[in-house]
Amino acid sequence: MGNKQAAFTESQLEQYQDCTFFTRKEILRIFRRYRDLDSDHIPKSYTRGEASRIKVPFEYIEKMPELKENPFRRRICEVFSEDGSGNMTFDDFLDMFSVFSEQAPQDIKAVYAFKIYGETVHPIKVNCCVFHQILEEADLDDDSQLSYMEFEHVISRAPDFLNTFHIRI
Amino acid sequence: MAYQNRGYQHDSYSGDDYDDDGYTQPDYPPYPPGVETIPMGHMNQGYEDDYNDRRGDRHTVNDVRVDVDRRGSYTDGYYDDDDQEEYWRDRYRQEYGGGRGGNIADQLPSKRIGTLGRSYAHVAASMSEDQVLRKRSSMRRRKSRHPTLRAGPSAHEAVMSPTAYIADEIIADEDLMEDTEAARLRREEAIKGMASGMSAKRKVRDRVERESKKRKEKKVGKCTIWCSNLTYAWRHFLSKIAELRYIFVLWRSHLKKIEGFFGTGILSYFIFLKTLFLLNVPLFVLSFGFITIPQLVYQPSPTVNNASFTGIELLTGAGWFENTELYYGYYTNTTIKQNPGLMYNMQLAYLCAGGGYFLLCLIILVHRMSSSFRTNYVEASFVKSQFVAKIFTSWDFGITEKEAAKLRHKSVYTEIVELLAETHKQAQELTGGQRCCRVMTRICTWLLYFAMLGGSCYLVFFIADRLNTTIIQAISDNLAAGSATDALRLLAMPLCISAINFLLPFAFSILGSIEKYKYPRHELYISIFRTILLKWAILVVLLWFWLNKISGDASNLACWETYVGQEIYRLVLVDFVFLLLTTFISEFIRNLFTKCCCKNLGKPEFDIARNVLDLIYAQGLCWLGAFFSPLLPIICMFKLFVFFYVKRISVLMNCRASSKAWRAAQATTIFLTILLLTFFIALAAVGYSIFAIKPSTDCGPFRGLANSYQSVLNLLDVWSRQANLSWIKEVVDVIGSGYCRAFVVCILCLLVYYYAKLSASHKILVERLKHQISEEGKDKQFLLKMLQDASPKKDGSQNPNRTSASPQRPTSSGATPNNQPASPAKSPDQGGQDAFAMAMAARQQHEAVGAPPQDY
Repeated sequence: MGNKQAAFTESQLEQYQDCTFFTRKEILRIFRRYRDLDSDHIPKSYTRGEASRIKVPFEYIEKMPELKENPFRRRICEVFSEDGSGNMTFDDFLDMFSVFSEQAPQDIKAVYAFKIYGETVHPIKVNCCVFHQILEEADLDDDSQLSYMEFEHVISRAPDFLNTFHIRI
Repeated sequence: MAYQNRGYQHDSYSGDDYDDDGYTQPDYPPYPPGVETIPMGHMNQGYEDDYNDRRGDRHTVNDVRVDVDRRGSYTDGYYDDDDQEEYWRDRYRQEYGGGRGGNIADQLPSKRIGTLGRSYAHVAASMSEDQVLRKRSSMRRRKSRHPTLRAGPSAHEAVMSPTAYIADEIIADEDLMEDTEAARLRREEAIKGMASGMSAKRKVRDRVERESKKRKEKKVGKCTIWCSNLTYAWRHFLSKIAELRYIFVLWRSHLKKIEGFFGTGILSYFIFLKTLFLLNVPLFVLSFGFITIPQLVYQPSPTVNNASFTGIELLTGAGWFENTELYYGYYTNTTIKQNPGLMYNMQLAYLCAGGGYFLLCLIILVHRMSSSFRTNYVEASFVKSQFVAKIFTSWDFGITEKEAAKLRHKSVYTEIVELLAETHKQAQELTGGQRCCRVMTRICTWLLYFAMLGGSCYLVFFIADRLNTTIIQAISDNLAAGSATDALRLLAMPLCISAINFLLPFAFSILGSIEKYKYPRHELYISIFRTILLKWAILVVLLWFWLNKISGDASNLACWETYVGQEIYRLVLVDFVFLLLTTFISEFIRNLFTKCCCKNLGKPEFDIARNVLDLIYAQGLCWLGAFFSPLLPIICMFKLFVFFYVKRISVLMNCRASSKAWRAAQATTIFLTILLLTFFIALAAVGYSIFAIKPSTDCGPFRGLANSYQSVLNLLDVWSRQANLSWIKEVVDVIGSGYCRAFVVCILCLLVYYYAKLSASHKILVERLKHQISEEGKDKQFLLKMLQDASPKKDGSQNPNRTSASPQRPTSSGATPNNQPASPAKSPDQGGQDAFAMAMAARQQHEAVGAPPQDY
């Protein structure tokens, strides 16, 4: 932060370390990125519970370089924001990058991928043919739907999934 | 601490109209003093109380938002205005949209994801039905007592929230709650593995921590405290290391930028480069630490390096460099004795450093390759998921640039179109003539290829043979490498090899395009195969030449190892300069050319395969040279380091990503395999030279021995004469005997056979299980259909739009298996019927599973 004012208390940082896949430095780095979204309104110190109160609107978040070209950005923000609106508190923000980080295991990534892709449609128009193909490959119990279990089963075996479902911060 | 957050009150919620009863806390007035001081993350007592006695009457202000996990859980406020209906309909669509129709099937436990990661997925599954019903009915009772309660829906959700279940589950798990650091770590893992929001995790964590503290107080042993302290210190240390690692992660920002511009394809090249760089670090440390430093400490007899240094030696590696630590020949064969009792056997150090490094490399490479192979081929082969992989993994989340995004869109589109065309196209029958023509072309191209391969190998051999005789003559007359012509003569062979390596791959790609392979993938693999075969062939020719014509007594060189070291040095250096030049010409100049005159030529594509193969070749040289020239690894490291920056600048300035998608994971496996094979070639060559070739008589650590391995045998002899160490010799003898080798081979064969059988039987099992799943699915469909047919028809089912407009709470997609979303305003039975109606309606709404809403 440049000055001495601490953004978080010790116990907060410990909590974040316990709840995410980040180290202390990374958490602070992500906080810097978060503040850069709108440094006029986000306080420097988050020691009093601001982390789950103050929200940055989606319009600011989607301008981040990491998200701005992503066709799923709206959905991503909705999935990760606690109220589903796309406006994110710092907690949500950190959680998002924790899931997208390299250390996050495959199954947790798969859960979020399911949530994100479950609603959004791919940039290309998914037409019937593709859909049938997908079902043919992934629908194990032939009920014409893709449950999470089935999704996870195929996605965990798609070699590039871990590579592509990953945002460097 | 005057923070202001006015800015967010309204712009953030301008589009949302459902926040009128404290749900999202639209405004943030300065907290009342008492509340403000509550540090975030400390769970408010209200949650606990509420969870325990479920009274539901709460007083604190900040409870409103504390324990809601909106992502997975539901909210069941008593909404009755139209806005709320609208909201819930939206919400419902959000939760169940996208082709997962809202019928009863969606409420089955297996269809939920919600807040549970896989590790805690069993929570949902293990909860028995009556448990749930009990909880639900108690909830209903509570609701009916306070039908007009409007504030703070979260208070009630805590009752059913999956968060609480997970917390319960963790607390109930004795393994996780043990008072040891290991259990603590497992607890943390479990919490990290929850797929729910931060506040939920925090709550679970706090509760679990509190609970574990309570238990801690019960039993306190001194030993356990001490152990705990120790492990805590160790963990602290580890986390510090992790932080340090974060600082030292090499080239982080560069990699991020490259990924942003080009996606994972080109990134994989740079990651490969980085891997090689890091792989060379231990090689350098071992050889420098165990060979060069002792030699420097030893301070050989003051032989002054007479040779003059003109600068050309930097290129040729001969002359002045010959009598330095750079080459094998300079090292001593003595046992260094600095102090009495401190001995350092140079011969053994030389062998052990090399052997240790090769062993380390072997382990790292085999490990990486096998894990990559397992995930990308073996496991992937169980599931035939071309389409799923294409659809769900084709978007690269790392992309940050508009151009890259556009290109990605395009490539995803073309790929899927191609794939569809492939699937729907019946295997196109070629006419006899066409087939014949194709076979003939391929035969011709392969013949041409082998002609080129043979030609280039012969060329290399010819140059090496011809030039070397003159060079060796010159060296033995002490005239070498003084003048420019000599230097040129020395550099002729490396230049020729680099030229071949640069030009022929282009010829191979032309051959590939003539052959007209059905899939571009095959063309790529064939071209990779051809290129790497060429590089290997050249390496093998060189090795054969060095080990047969130069080494031992075959030539009259004073120190053949030094000569081979010099040759490799030259190869490495010329390769470096050549690659820099070709990067400059084929990328920079071409881009300039494109900009100035020929606009439609376009930016050059970055050829990942060719560049990676160049790196592998360079690394092969490095492995080969490390034995003959202990300081070569530092040169290779320097080379890779410079290369990273040059390629980075060149790629960002001049190149564009390939329009074809690059399957980074599979390609990496292939490249790792190739790297491993190259490593084996180097290993075989070095091993052969250690075990079978006579070292030079006048130089190097092994002078005077029959072969380098003899030094180990000598040591064993010395040991066998000492009474207390003689067993070592016996052990080595036993291990080296033919029986033992045959035994090991037999065991290995048996193991291979066993695993092959095991995997075959697993395959059969997988097939059966798949079949079983499919059958079960059909059964389930059948039963669900019967259930839905049997359910009483309500007006809602005929009028789907109205049904979901009733103030329903959509069911959780989380862990809570509440099959009947209860409607608080109605009696339980009615609620159940409503649920059915709603499910039916939703089912109709989402009937067209194949056409999910298209937002983009």
